[in-house]
Amino acid sequence: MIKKFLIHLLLVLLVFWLTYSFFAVGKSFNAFFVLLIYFLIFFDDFAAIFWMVGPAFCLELISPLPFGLYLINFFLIYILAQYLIKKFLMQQSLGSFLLLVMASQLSFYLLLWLEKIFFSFLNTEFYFTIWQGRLIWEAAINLLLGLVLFGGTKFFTNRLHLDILKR
Amino acid sequence: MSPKKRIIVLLIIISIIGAHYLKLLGPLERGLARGLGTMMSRGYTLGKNIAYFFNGFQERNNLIAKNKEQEEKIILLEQELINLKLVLEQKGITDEQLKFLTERKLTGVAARVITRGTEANNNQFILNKGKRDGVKEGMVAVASGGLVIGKIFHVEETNAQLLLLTDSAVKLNAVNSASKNTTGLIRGYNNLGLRFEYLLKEREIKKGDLIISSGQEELIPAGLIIGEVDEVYEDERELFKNARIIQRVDTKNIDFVTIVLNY
Repeated sequence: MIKKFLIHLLLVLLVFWLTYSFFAVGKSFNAFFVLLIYFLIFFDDFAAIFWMVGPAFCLELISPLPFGLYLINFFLIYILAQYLIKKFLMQQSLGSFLLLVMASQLSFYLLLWLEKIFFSFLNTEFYFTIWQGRLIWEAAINLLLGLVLFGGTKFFTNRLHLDILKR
Repeated sequence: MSPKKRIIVLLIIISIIGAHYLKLLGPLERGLARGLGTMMSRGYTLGKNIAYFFNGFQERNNLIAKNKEQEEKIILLEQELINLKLVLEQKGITDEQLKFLTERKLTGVAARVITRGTEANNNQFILNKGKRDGVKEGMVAVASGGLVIGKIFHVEETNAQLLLLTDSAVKLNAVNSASKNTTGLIRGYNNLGLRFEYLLKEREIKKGDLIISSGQEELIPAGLIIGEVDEVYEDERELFKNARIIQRVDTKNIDFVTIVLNY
């Protein structure tokens, strides 16, 4: 358990470092939803919860948004993804995986947008802007990353079963 | 996940948020933020260097085919560079800025750029200095040449968030150095350039005038250089006129900034 915890912790920090420092020079993107969905579909609850709380907590530390928003948003997206898996996207297929990734990314920005409106009523500054270009860029990167992860899982592991998800 | 587990996870999240606001997580957050900050600033520099390397590599590949065209461009760019240097020297921007800071006994804190654009906004920089170093919201940061490049809009214990002046959310009171009664508001324009707005029509302003901070804002000293007037726009139907301001600083390649502190 401790070994598992440490591996996931190191992976979260590595992905965080890559996403928000190494690649921040060019067009920055948020790859955490691909990984959250990936761990939700192919791994156990522990891994999925870790990939929900870990990145959100790291983001809270450097973000100007009120503390807690990322944690809540990631939790809501996690719940939404679970609901979609349970009701509609029940197979471990590439289509389901990519659809979930897109749904989580869109939900994340939708949530931030709604929170921006909410905070504007409270007369509190909420530094969040989103451009259409950014959405498309991020979606493309996430789809590509999703394809790579799915392909890698299919060829190198035996985690992929085209049966109904039991969650 | 069962509903019971969901409730447990939600309770954990609420506990984390509660512990933050009760300051119980202070040491952990500071330690993590400091560790992440160090890691991220190195990663940012590394990423930047690699990006430069690949850009340079790509350019070299294209150079053979476009050699002549590029040589001409280089000559033109060199001429432009010389002109720009002359303009800067004439205005004594750097010397004036250093002299200004020394004379007014202003101090600043050098901050390193950790990363940029965490909230999907590339005008946003995260700096590795925070409340502990005396940084406050509303202060300005200057680039190596002494030009104001942005405003601090959020400060944590160990880091601070900077928004470039080019961001449409940033506003800065400014004045024309050539005509001290020409005051207005500097605002980002389409996240790309700067506009000097709300200028009374009878006030004087012309191309080449140097725009400086007015000192009307609490934490921003007067006289910090913001940019130079490039074009003045005046419309009979409008109550005010405005001007386009150019900043001779490449904000894409900034690694370090100085936050002006004691004012």
